[in-house]
Amino acid sequence: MQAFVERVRRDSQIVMRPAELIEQKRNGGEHDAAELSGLVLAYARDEVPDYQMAAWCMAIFFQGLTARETHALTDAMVRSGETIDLGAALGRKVVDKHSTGGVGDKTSIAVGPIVAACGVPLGKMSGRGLGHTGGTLDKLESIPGFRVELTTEELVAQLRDVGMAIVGQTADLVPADKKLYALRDVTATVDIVPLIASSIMSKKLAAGAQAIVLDVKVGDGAFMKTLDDARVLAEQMREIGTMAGREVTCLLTDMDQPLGRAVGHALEVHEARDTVRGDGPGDFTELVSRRPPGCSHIPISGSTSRRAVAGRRPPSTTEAHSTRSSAGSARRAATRAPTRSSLLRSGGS
Amino acid sequence: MSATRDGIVTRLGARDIGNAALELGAGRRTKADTIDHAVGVLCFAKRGDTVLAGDDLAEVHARDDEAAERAAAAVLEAYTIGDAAPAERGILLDVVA
Repeated sequence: MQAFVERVRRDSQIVMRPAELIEQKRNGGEHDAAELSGLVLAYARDEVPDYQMAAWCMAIFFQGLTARETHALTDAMVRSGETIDLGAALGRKVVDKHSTGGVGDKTSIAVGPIVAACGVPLGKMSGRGLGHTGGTLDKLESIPGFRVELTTEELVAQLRDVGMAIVGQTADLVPADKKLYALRDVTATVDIVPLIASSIMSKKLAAGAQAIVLDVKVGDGAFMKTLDDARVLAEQMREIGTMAGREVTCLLTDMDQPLGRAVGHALEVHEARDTVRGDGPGDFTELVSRRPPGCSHIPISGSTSRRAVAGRRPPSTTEAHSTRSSAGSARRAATRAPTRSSLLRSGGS
Repeated sequence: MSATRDGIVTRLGARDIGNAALELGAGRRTKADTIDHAVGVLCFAKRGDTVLAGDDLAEVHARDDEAAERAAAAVLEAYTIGDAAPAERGILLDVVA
């Protein structure tokens, strides 16, 4: 198992002065790959202070990053921690799926079994995330007894046996992103497209899937409000992935209204299950089952293998009191606290 | 929550529904917040649906009466019911591949 978890923390030998890089970016210059790599790796090692990184991020807000810079930044972030090669561990192609986040987005929970049933292993490392309704891990934890923390060995075994795994991060992936995102969150530098793209893609690249499907949400409840903005983000992420030798497909999907009917963890798990059984709401069913035009290479449609999906226990979820306009007496339902202190972020949401 | 008039749902604001769910306890404001897995909103009526006054629009799953009332008001705010059908907007808007 050690073979595919490799630490690639390369010491950078470059003499790098953060203040000069901030000035260069502020003045509209372009960093070379070595400069970017030096800055990011030094930041991850706590050798560059937050205030310099914050100033640098703000300079990027105004001056942007070139495609070359975005690629170099992503590459450096991947190299800041461990990487996993799921394909090598399984000896076959593994797909990953990521959403930029939206209201009622339970897509992974329904699409995972569908892809696995097509004979394509879907391995997804998911986050919890701040925001309206947490992340996929939070939703899954509304199933009593569901364990989202698997070791890398368990993850590989489950992918081999079941064909699907949605788990919390197993390894120390992309520590530079964790640090940088926390900083951006409090310095008004979250909404910078190349930084969003590199944040999402660094985690996808480090997690090791060969094919990556990105669901970029667009509209009122999404980070990207307009189709044009979403397209720019999608193209940047696709370019990063392609340069790293991965197959990337981006779907731009509506988030003006909630996806499906259910918003909330147990409710969403129920809806995902109903949808896999063919009894889901129209929009969500279309999203998880329809092959998008021009996407014939998307794995969901590509296989004719009739491999059964071994399920975990059927979801019997905790449910709260239901009310229509006026409430009756509330029934106590078990409150489940997240079992893990290290919170993972689902990028962009 | 019931529709107050006949018409067509022209808007169901995702952000408003998300905020209602967050208020109910389904989300986190800070990393340290714990999540209530049981609460949330079911939106029966979606954009483009025709509704009659009194039809159920949505349902709130809340921890207590007070939270339910607050969320119900927020959910109603998320709905706009008009006379003309809204512009068609499918789930899949574009593909970049």
